[in-house]
Amino acid sequence: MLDIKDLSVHFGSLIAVNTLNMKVSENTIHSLIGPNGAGKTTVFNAIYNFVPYTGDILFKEKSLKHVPTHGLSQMGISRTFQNLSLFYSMTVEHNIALGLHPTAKSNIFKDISGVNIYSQKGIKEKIKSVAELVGLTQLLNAYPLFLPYGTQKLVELARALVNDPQLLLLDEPAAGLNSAEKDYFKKILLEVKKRGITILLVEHDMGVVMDISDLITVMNFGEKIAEGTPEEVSENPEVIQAYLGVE
Amino acid sequence: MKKITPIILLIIALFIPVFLRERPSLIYYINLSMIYAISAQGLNLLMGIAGQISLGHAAFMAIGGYTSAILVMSFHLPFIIALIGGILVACAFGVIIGFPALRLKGFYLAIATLALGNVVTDIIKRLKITGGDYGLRNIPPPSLFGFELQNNLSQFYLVLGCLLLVIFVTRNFIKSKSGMALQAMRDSETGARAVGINISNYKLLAFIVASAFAGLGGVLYAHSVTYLHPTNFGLGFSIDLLAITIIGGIGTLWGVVLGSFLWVLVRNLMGTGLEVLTGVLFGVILILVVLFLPRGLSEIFFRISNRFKSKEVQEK
Repeated sequence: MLDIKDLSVHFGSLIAVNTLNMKVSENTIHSLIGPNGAGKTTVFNAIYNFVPYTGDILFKEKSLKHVPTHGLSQMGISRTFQNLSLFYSMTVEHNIALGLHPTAKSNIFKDISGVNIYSQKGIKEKIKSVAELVGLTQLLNAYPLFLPYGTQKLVELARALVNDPQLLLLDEPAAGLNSAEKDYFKKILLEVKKRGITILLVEHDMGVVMDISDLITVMNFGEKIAEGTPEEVSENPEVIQAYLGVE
Repeated sequence: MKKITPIILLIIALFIPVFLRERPSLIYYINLSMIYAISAQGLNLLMGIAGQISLGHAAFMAIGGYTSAILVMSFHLPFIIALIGGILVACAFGVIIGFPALRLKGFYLAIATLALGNVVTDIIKRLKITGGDYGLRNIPPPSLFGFELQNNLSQFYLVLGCLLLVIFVTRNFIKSKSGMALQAMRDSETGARAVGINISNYKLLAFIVASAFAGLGGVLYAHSVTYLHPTNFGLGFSIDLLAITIIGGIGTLWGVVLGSFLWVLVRNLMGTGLEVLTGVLFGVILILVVLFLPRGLSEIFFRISNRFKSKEVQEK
């Protein structure tokens, strides 16, 4: 589904990602792990064209190199952020609704005649369904700023899911969550996978990664050092030395 | 109560000229307040809703006003055509300034818009058709369907109609798909791009709508004041519009109306002898608003209305 070919990202003389090759298969949870500064988030930012890069990134065999960031959602790619990017002046419902921006059809006449496209029945039902999936049904009228951090992460996840993506990029979704929230998050991600959505996950929490991943790619200093199932990766000596730690 | 309030306000507004028949100068200042409110509503949309900044908003008023006046005086076109022409030309300049805005943010955007204001007034000063440094005088009053709206009283209803239309459009626009996209862009540009919002298009849209409102304000100003001079639309006037928006309540629908009335009426009714005092007064108001009322003076009304609401809930 996602094919990263010889991806390199340079920030001046610093090589953030060095000729990375990886493939994310359909309907899997594929984790990208590595120590801080390994280049994991930079890979996400390259996919989203937030940073210039060399090499190529193919989604369903189409190059993403010249696709503007706002075009990715329509192609079926969604993401969440390490530092939340919610719309804090809006309710949870409106935050989720904006995930439907590319598909909700409107025009200038509807805009000035007061048609609120997001209050239409079909859209409301979609919001309700995704809110149910992540457990936000009771909080649709709340403002995210007043919600606990873990719940805010769920709002961002719901916003990313509402447009029925085919590929979901999650950047450290478990960071800052307590163990109960992490368990809940894992359950949701497995349910998301069941619905046919492919997940590319950047995560530091090895408990989360090992429990739900089908395949893991390990990065260090911008390079891929290992790839395999959770069992294979956890036994790889290079990974143990670079990331998991030697006992 | 929420639904009745605008109707009551509208009825009061419609009868204002009847009560003030003996004081046409006061009606003139009310008209001017409404014209400022129309223009400031554009700035409110640009800054309060879309999160962009402009220090050259008065330039769009100048463009609208001069275009309309020239179309009527030099090309003898009917007022309604001139009005549309003024708005369209202001929109076109909105696109021109909107393009650099796609790459600029914060201070840099402020400087770019400030420069636009200066360039526009400078060009107006040098053109023959705009009357150069002499300005345009004896601009005919607005006329609609063969009726010339010569006095302040008849112009009052035209300006009021335009203001209500602008408020209606703004209210609807904020709730619409585009309005929500602008608010998303203001809250988090990264988040907005990630959900598929084309930031460039929406920034341009914000500048176009803001320029359209300023252009309309400029057209009404030209035909109501009947005199245009480039210095009237310099940095000072842009700052006035900014202050009106902040004092009234940035991002609020009625705040700019409140701010405009306060700005124009208090300033002009205190007389020339007390001009220095009004400057100090507004300076103090501006500081107090920024410190204690982030949503401007309209926040006072929100607080009162919330208190009533909570009382009602308690009684239930």
